[in-house]
Amino acid sequence: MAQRAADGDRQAQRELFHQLKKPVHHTLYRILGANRDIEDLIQDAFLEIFRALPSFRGDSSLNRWAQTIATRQAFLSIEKRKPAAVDLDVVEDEIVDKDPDAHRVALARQAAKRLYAALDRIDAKQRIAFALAVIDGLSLAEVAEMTDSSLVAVKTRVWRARRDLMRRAAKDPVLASYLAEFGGGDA
Amino acid sequence: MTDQKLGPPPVEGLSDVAWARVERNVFTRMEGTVTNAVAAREVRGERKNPWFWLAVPGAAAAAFALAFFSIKGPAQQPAGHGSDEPSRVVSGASPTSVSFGDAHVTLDANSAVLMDQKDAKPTALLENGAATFAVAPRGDRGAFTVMAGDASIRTSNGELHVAREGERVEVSVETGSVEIRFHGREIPVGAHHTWSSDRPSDVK
Repeated sequence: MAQRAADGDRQAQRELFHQLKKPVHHTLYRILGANRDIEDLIQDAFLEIFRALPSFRGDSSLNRWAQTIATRQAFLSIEKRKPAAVDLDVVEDEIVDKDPDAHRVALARQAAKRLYAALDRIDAKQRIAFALAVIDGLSLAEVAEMTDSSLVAVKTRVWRARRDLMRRAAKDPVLASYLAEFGGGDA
Repeated sequence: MTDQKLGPPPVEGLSDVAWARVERNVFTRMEGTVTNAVAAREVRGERKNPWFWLAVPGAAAAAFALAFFSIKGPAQQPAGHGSDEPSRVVSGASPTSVSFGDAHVTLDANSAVLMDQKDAKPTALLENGAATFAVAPRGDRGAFTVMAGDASIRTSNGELHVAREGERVEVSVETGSVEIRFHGREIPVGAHHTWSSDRPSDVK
């Protein structure tokens, strides 16, 4: 199917789109968090996937190869956009629901929002390494493959990202508590 | 905060409508890329030809005249191009029928289909709900394709009912035959048989 899609078979391209749409979306979302530009970014990623498809040699799975391209698109997006203008201490939601499950979901949302707000302020490569290795739970080797980096570089980025995040979390108990959940990472 | 672990931030999925929009835009932009690339190649080729320098102002003048008369002339519908544009049909509380080329599509209540006729290859993307597709014999023309979830259903003659709920897809063939492509498999399904993505190898 990949070969037919690379040859311009529109039906094969559509099938490939449906096969790859979830992994591509997952990677972008994991790195960037909730994002109003996510649809545009998925489009950009797929245009790049179809453009680069003739060079796909099958060294990795098609899904992983597509995720590598999505990671690159995420990197470009981070590099392009302006630094977040909102301070961590003004993104807090008020949690009023007394239902334990609803309360937990609201807490998770708030924690995720604060985590990504903090990630917005660290180096793009560190952010990507942290998001993929620590939040998404990929191995360092997988992250190295997806970011075309050495294992040592990825490990260093994760360590630095965690250090920066912990520094920012010093005044933010919600973020600090959430980061502690990811304490067993690779850093 | 809480003793209970919150887990990694959830990945919030896109709606079917959003995915249909993304798919449409990707392929529209790809058409544009191909067209631009071909145009660029043609221009590069033309540069060696001395007539190129006459053709460019001529084409510009023609384009200007066309634009001028389009604005000044009597109001008209754009000629024929609209039929290639994708169109979405959404049913409300009751079923809706629509003709799509030589196919007849009946949407069940609360369903949505995006229909595309690009390159004379009719494709219907079932975004949600269910629909019946009655496809007249297509002869040498390309098959009629219904996309639903991860399934691609092709037929050149027949009537089929396709239902989609999230990523679950069920196809019932009333007449004729279809070929379903699903996760790398190709499954032929004949008249009076049903296929479901729950058990992709089985045809009942």
